[in-house]
Amino acid sequence: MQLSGSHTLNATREQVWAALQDPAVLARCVPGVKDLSPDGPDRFRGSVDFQVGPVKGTYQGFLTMRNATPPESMTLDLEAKAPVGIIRATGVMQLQQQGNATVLTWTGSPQLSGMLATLGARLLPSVAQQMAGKFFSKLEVEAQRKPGGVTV
Amino acid sequence: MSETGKYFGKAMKRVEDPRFVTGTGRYTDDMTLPGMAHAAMLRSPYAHARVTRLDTSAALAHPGVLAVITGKELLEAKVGSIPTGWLLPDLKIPAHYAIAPEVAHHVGDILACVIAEDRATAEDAVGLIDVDLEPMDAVALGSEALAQGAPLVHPEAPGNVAFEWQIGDREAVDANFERAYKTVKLNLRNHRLVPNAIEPRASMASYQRAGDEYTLWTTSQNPHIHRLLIAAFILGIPEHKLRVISPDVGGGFGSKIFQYQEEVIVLYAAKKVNRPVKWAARRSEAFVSDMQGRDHETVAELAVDENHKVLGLRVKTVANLGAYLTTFAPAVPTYLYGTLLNGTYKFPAVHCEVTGVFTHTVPVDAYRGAGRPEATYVVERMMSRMAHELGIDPAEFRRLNFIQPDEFPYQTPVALVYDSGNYEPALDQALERVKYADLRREQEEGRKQGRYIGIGFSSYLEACGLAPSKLVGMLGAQAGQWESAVVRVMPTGKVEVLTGSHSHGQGHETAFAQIVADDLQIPIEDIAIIHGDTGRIPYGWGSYGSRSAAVGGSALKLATSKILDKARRIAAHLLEAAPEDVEYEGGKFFAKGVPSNAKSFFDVALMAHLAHNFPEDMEPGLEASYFYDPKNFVYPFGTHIAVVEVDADTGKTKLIKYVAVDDCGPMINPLIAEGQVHGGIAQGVGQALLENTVYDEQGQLISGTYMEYAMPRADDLPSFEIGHTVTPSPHNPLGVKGIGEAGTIASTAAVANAVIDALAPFGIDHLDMPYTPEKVWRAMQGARAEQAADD
Repeated sequence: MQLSGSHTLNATREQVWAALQDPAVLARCVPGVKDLSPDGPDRFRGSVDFQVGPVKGTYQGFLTMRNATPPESMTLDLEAKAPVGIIRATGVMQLQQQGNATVLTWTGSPQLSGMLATLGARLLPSVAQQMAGKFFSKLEVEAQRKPGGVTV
Repeated sequence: MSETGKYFGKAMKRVEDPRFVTGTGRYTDDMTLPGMAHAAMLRSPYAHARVTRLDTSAALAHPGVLAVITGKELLEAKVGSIPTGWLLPDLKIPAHYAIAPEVAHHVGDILACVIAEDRATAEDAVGLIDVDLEPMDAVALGSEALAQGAPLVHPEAPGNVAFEWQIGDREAVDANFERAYKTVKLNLRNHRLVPNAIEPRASMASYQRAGDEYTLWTTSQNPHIHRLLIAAFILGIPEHKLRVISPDVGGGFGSKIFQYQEEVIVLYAAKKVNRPVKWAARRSEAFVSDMQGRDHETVAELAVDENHKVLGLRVKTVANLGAYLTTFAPAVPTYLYGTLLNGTYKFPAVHCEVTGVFTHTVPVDAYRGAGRPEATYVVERMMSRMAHELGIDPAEFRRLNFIQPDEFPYQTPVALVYDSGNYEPALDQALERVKYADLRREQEEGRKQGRYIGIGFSSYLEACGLAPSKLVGMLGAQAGQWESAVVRVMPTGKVEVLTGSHSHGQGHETAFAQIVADDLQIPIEDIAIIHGDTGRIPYGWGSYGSRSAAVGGSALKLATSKILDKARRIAAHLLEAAPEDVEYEGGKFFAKGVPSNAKSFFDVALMAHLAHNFPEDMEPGLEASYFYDPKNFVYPFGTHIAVVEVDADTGKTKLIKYVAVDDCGPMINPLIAEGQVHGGIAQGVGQALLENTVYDEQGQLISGTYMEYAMPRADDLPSFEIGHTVTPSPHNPLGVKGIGEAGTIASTAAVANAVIDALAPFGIDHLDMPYTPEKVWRAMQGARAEQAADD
């Protein structure tokens, strides 16, 4: 499964990048987050409520950032498990400055296991897009609060 | 033969139906015992993974949790591996534990079990088990599992090969292909199916500490087989201390034959927590834990001579067995498949090679038809493909190659000896019912207007009524294949019939009573059919392979005749006549010519129990048993014709007409027989048009709900037209054959042939099932593009 998306955020690339590095910001932006805390450099641990169709669960997991080229791109590894299944994903995020705005494109290839794969695989793409939409619209507001922000 | 009786042969409504349709059936999950606890399973989310850590402490600490059982605990308690019931030469048998102690081999494999006060608590606590799994590479497709470097399922089966098996004469086939006028070759995929019985599996166990006795209520087609396997191989419970009850069961289709892990777990748990324990599958659990069906990859070749007579069939099959060898798994793609590759035809030579392969998928075992639908699909697809290649009518090509009625018993080149048959009348009746000539004209007219009608044949044969014990023993069965019956007459003349057969939808309570009522000449209401309880019935092998009527029915026919013999002798004593002078008519015994002085069945039954006035050398009571071992399989046959229309714009296939003419010998109850045919056809059509079990490359089941797994619905099916011919089996006392699986065995191939016939104008020779609109549309688009390029 290959997922991708693109979002235009009304903030500079540096602001968006700074927001993405801030666990408190991420905790406020990721839909369903129950807790999120740093777990070593470039690594977070946390738990998230997440529902795909009928498959609902609290996922415990880790998010690791690597190959970071500030403020242009990074690779993200996600591993999260819940009684209903396991998600492993690798994604790449790229930031491009366009005027005062930042165009953020992402691609990801999630691997689902268990009930989540059986019951949720068909529904995941639309759920992922929906979550990304929510995440980036919140991230946009957070990014604008970072230093060097633009006013709209 | 008693088809002239009052009940035998009569289309009676089933006596069990009122309780089923009013919701008063008693299924395992309806049962509740005082103090009953509930089980929930932790199942592997990975197709192949090693358990690196399993911490049950949080789950155990959860309020309401009574126990958490792990694979390690079962190993330490010396709970044995679940055995397979059919051995083949050099068969690789990996351990199959009730709970996988170290490595999960398919999605759904059990890793732990929580026992709790209620089901919700048990399921919640499953989520509290802290388990670390190290996922490993997996393989889901049989041919990929055989490839060099494929992930290994079990170290004890190198190359993932469970067995290599063959039947027939390879040299004879090769020689006949050498001199062939024409040959055709097809790659045939018989895809995997999920059984989907209406009642998901359930098991409940109780342990009586006082007598060290166990009772297991379970959704089983054969409770004695479960008792035997659990006692002798798995839990070591003395067989006489274990009672297995299989009450009302909502459909089996083979999937409830097998010894399952959960049945072992609840029995173990009931003793451990000293309370009754119940487990009931949710539908999503059923998808990853009920044994699945089919899953063959086959290369088949058929050769004919210049007179269009078949010279030989050559078949090579890779059979995907899934992760473990379950109860009858080794038999299904071998003795129930390779032996059926002669069909209804005079094939002078057949050779079949089968490689049984382990993969990281749910195990595959018998599913309605079990091997015979797979064989019929090969034979009937190849017959239609050859007729097309020869440019001759597929019905006439079949007729030309049929075994003739005077050639029975018929020895095939693949071991079986067909008992009786007469194939042309069934074909003729089917052609007449479908109005074949008109239909071909309509097809031709339609094609000119862009309407694509297809007509598909399946002149099938099946072998059922499993079968002489000595023969199946020689072939590797670890079970006998006789059946038992006890007829017990009570002092008031009411009759209890105990049968070793099991009804899980077949209507035995009606059909079996029809046999006994006629022979005893008593009202059918006076007879109760008892089955499915090892504590009440004699040892029996249960119901599968369409064996209930031919084997179980014959046993009770013969037990009933013992009752009649004794009743006649008692009556003779009461009438002061010689037994050979006593007649029995209308439920009354009388001396020949003196009907006015008669003793009723009731009089005899009462005196048999009072024994006040009784022959001196005779035992009191009126009870008889019979253990019947058949002399051969029985061989039902028939011709099914499917008519489809394929929409040229969307690829949607509509089944517009379906004619089935079956010959199962004399029918005990034509209404029940027709019901079996209807259900069977729907199941076979489901495979051809709709159902498919899809695993991704990591062995994840991605068709695990009814959103993705398309079961046939009423609006997918036309009203079936059913006909019969009657060719009795010469070797059982009822002359009956079997009808439980025929519809499924025949219909998949008939529909497949119809779709390919519809697509003939596009130059399409073959497409693999299921014929989903997208697949058919793509094939038509591809053909159109090719035709355009040629122009």
